[in-house]
Amino acid sequence: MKKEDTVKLISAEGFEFVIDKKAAMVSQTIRNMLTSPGSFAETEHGEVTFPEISTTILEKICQYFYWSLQYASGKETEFHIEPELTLELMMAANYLHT
Amino acid sequence: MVSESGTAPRRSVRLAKKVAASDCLENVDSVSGKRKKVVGSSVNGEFGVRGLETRDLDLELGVDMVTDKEEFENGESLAKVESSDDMETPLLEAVNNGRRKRKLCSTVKSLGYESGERTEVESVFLSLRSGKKVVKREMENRNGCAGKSVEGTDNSKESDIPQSGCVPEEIKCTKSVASIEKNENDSPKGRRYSGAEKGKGKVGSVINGSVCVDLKLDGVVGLSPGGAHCDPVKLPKSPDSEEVVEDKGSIRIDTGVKTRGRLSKEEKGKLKIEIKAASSSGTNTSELIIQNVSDSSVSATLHAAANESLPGGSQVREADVNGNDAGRVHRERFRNFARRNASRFAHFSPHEEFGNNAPVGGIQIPVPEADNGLEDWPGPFSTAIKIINDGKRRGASTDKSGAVELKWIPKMQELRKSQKHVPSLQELCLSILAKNADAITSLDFVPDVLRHKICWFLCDNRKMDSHFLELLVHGSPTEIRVRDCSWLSEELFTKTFEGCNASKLTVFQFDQGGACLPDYTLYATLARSTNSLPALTTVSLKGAYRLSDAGLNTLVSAAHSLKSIDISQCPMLTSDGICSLANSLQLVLRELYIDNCHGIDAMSILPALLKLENLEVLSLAGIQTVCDDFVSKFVSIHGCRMKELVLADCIELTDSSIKVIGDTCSKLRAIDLSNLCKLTDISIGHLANGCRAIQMLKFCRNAFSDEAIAAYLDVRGALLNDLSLNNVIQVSNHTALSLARNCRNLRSLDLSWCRNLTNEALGLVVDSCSSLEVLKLFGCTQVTNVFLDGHSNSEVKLIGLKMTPVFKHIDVPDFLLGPLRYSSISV
Repeated sequence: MKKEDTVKLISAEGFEFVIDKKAAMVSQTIRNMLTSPGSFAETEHGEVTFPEISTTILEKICQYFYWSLQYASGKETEFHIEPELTLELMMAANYLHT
Repeated sequence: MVSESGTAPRRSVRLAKKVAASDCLENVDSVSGKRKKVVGSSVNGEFGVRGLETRDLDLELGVDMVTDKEEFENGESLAKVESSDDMETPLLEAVNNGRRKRKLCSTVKSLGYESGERTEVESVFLSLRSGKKVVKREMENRNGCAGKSVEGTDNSKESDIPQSGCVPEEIKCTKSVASIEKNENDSPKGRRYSGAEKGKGKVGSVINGSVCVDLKLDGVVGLSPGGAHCDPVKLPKSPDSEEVVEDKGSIRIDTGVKTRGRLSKEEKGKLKIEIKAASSSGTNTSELIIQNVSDSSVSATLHAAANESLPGGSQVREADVNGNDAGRVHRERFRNFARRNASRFAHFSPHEEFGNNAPVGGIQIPVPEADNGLEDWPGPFSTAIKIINDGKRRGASTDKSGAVELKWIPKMQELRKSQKHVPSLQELCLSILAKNADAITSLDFVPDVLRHKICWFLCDNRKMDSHFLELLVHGSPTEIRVRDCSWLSEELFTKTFEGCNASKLTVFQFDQGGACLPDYTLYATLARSTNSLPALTTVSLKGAYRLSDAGLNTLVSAAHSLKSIDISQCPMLTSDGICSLANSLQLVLRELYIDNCHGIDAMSILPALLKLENLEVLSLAGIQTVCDDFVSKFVSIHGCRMKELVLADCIELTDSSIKVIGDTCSKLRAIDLSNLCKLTDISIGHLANGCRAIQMLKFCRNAFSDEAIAAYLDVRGALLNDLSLNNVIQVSNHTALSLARNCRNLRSLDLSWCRNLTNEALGLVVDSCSSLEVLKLFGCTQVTNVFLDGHSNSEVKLIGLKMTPVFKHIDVPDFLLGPLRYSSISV
């Protein structure tokens, strides 16, 4: 993965997740941050921090991004979510507009 | 004395006839010596059949008839009777044969014969349909009635019957001739008048030709001429003239009213003239009738008849006239008649159904102007509609069918496959949460939006329960929205809310909670003291069927800053409750929803509503007492502030209300005019010219034309977010083109039941309205895959076609909106 194609998502605990830009764009919020005219710090460095989202949740979100791309390209599988994560996941998803 | 038909009760014509028939039948026997008057009027107002009844020459009877008339429900028939009576008498006398039978077909309305109408009525009915039958009857009657129209009763006269000269048998009238047979007690003449059916409405009594005509004229006039056979009128002048006068009047009324004015003045005039003519030349009286009678054959007959003496109706009388068989035969005929006419009566005429309801309070209903009228107004709407109509005319002139051309080419869809809708993470989470709601232990820190969403889907899945409710209520909730509380009992409600800290509660929606919201539970929980709901801004208690005025009052006194209150479908609320509500919340209330609260009378709450100084949303759907008067008074005070008006199902409203709304409500953002069938295109014009800010527009089953809607969209379509044209069946290409041209911001569109929209039209609309998210197409069976596969809008969701989920049309509300629709709370 080349650097230009990736973004770094940083969780509340400081964990960094490096993912494809294309995957990150599934989230409307991230897409706006990265593509909006004007200079967000995020645009420049390709890093986005999420102080309210915990690591487990952020990890699950990144998995969702990839699953979503896969689904759109034809491969329809099931995305399993642990029930205890659901509530927080939903809040994070709401925030990320995904 | 003639009662106007306007007051007659509405009845199915067919049934009425039958009833009348039976009435007559019954009466026949009961009355003896009474002339039977059968008033026939054309059904559906087409008939002009007005047979004059055969009347007794006996004047007395004539007088009786007059009184009988009063009993008639139908003024028309009364009129007929009267007139016929008058007219008849002299003529009848003259006619010796007294064979005239007038058959009156009773109109729908008139069937209230009280007088002892004889069975002749039956014949009348029957005769409506075919002249022949009528004739027959007449003949028979003639024979039979030698004076007595009643089959049963009249025997003696039989012998007399047909005397030549009597002819008028209109018997020849092949057209439905309503003839009334009248029995005369003494004289054996039953004259028969045949009237032209089908709206000629002339009482065509053809007795010697002059009879019926006479109706309009002095009784005397018609009477005398007519033929050598006519005996001089024996009627005493005075009563006669009175009657005559009345008759005249009544006849006029009769014919005029008859079918709601189907008879034109000129027809009546014609009749008059003809009558006059008749009087002038006795022998030609028959001709008069002829003119009146639509059936030319009748005239021919008349001619013939006039000059010859018909052998006692030999021609037509096939049926035997024996009294014994009379009943049976009559019934037969009625049946036949009914069979023949049934389909004609199975016809819904909205005019007849709804009548000419007088405008309330003297507000005049504006006569719907023709297109030209719309085009002559000042304002952008008229320009728009002019353009459209010009285009239409141009198109029409080049031999096109008048429908405007619409081009749209479906694109081949390879994209279709990749248009899969990927479920969002929120949706996935929601479904899991809805399934496992019982496992949720806490909703702390969950934002209200998400709480509402979870709750919404739980209610959908019927999994909502008290456990989740407790989670919602736990702590110090700010918003509680439960859209279906039908599962909740009183005890549970009390238990749950007793300990609820409602100090921060801003929004409380507890719909369909009738079972758990009698007054006392509110007293025990939320409304336990006068300031127990200090922050409450929005409350919705839809469907609280046990909530009474007292409970409402207490709630309102506990929540002083209440700005929006939805108490729809609460049947126990009355006008008093609303009045006290208005008194308490005079300065703060902004939104009031009282849909379908049938205990509330619009005019009684009007003064209270006028007091609400900040009202911006008013919803009165389903309240039938809302009338033009109410709307104009309300709007004159509050119109400048109103942002939303829901007037669905307030069917009494007419264009004048919309005119007032258009003139004053310049800030109106949403209006719902569903099911207001009295509105015409004029209303659209008013809305277009006056209300510049409308974003949500709901039409449903309105009688608006394609061009008018298209013109509206041309003028105001750019702002529209939400448009419903559900069941506005005239919607067609003009509207589609206009939508495509103008509605860039349209997000939700409902075109259900608009069957005149083709695949191409829909394709054009969907491809051009770039913001369109939802398109509802229930009932549009004309839509095929040409549209479904051919449109290139990837975002739009089509709802209501085959194979699409039906429930998607229920909108999940946008929970991100604040508690008030058009204002923020702090204001």
